[in-house]
Amino acid sequence: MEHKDVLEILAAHADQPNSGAISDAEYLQVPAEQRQELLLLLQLAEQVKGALAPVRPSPSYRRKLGLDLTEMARQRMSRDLLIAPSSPRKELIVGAAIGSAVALAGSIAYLVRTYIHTRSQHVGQART
Amino acid sequence: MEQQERLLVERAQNDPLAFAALYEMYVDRVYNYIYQRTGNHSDAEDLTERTFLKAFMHLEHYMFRGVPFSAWLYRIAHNVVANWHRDRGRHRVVSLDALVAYGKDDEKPEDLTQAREEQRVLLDAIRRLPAERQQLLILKFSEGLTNARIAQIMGRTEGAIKSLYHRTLLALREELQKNKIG
Repeated sequence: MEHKDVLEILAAHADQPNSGAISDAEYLQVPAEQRQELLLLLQLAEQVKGALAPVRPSPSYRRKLGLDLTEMARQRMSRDLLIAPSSPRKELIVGAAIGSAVALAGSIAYLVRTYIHTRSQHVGQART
Repeated sequence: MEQQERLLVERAQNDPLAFAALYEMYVDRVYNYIYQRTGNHSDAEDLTERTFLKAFMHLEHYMFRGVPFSAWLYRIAHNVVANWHRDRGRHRVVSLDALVAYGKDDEKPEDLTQAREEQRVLLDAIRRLPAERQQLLILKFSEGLTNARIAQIMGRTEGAIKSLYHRTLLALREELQKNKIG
C-alpha cells in the first residue's frame, strides 16, 4: 500500500545529496509498521544513486559529432540559399504575365470600341 | 534556464548553425542517459548520434506547447533506445564496459571487491526493470532532475512520478531478493 508520507519522504530525499539519511521528525511521521520499509527503501535509493553515477562521452567523440552536425547545418544552409533565388524570378514571371494580360485586354477593348464606332457611323450615313 | 533554452531553440530554427549551442548544452546529458540504458560506450555513441541527428532534422517541427526542448530531446533519446532494444530482440544487455571493470561472471567472487559485485548485481537488476522505470531512475539519480522536470519529460503528473518512484524501488528490491534466492 502506498502511504502518502512514505511517497513524499522518498521523493524529497531522492533530490538531496545525502538521500539515505532521514530526520527523527520524518521517521515519526510514518506509521510504525512502515518505518522499517522506509529505511530499507532509502538505503536502496542511495545504492542506486551510487550505481548510476554520471558517465560522460570522450572529448574526441564529443568534438567529432559536433563537427558533423555543424557540417550538416552548413549543407542545409547552402541548399536553402540555392532554393531562395527562385522566388523573385517567379514573381517577375507572374508580374510579366499579368502585365501582358492587361495589355491584351486593353487592345481587345480598343478594337471592339473602334469596331462599334465605325459601324455606327456607317449606319448613320446609310440613313441620310 | 527555460527562457534561455527557448531562445536558443528559436535561433536554431532560423539558423541551422545555431544548433551547435543546443548540442553543447545537452550532449553530455543525452549521452549519459543512453549509456545508462545500454551499458556500453559503443552503443551509447551510436545512439547519441542518432538522437541528435533526429533532433536536428525535426527541429523546425518542434513547438514549445508546455514541453521544454530538453524534454523533447529526452523523448527522442528514449524512443531511439526503445527501437534499439526492439531491433536486438529484447535480449539481455550485457555491459562490455562493466565486464572490463568488474571482471567476467565466472570469475571467483573473491577476485572482486564486495562493493563492486553488489553494484554489478544492482545494475543488472535495474536493467531488467521496464523501460519507463529505468528512465525514471536514470533521470532522477544520474541526471539529477527534479520530480517536476521528470514529470514533463515522461508526460505525467508530479504525483504520478512520486508514486512510480515508490513502486520502482519496491520492484527493484523484489528483483534483488529474487536474484539472491535464485
